[in-house]
Amino acid sequence: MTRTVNTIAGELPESDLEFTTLEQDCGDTIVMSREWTYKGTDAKYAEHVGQMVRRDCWVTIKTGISATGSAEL
Amino acid sequence: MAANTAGVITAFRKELLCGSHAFGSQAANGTRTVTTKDVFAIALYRVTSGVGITNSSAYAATNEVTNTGEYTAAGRSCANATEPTFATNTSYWTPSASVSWTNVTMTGTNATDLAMLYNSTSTGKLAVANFLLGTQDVGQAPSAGTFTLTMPANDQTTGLIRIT
Repeated sequence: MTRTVNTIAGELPESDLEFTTLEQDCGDTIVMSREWTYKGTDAKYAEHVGQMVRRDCWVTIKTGISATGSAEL
Repeated sequence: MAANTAGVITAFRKELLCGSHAFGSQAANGTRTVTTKDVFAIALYRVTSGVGITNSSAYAATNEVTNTGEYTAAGRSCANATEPTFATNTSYWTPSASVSWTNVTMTGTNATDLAMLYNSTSTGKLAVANFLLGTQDVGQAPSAGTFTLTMPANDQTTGLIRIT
């Protein structure tokens, strides 16, 4: 059974997609994003070939805040 | 529009002294009748929408990201299975699980760089604190994907809300 992934173009076979994962340390947070690109050959989705069709984001708060600390971060 | 600002909401400190927030449960006593904990939630705001710690004392739909996928106005409640505690003269509390929305598109002007933690049980939905989501003014732009906010380790140095 073919697994599918939800994208801006609808449900696409996972085998037609490639993803890259980026990680960035933003100080108080670590951000990870996964961008999915369509690599399939289905003419129905020709306009999406080579395009990013989905992006997932994870934000991890490294350190919370102190209610008795500085007012702004 | 001005940048969003992270930090403890100014009014929250006063509200703590007035007993307006219950992060954990407490035993009944002669004067306080509320023994159950409140529900806290997280709402997301658009980049450069001027949401700050002095001008935003409560949750408001203004400048919130638009409804998309699982994200609807007012955001989502946090799991709160861990009572506040203290160590080394610091009290702390952290939601007990990540907060996540699937199938969301927050691109262009709907990108988000601010999460507001607020007390959804309180009258007026009093705000607790704002947290930046990555780089200020850039933020996060999920597209037909999942957005997940993962909480820090729940201890006296990294807990989400700490009082020293």
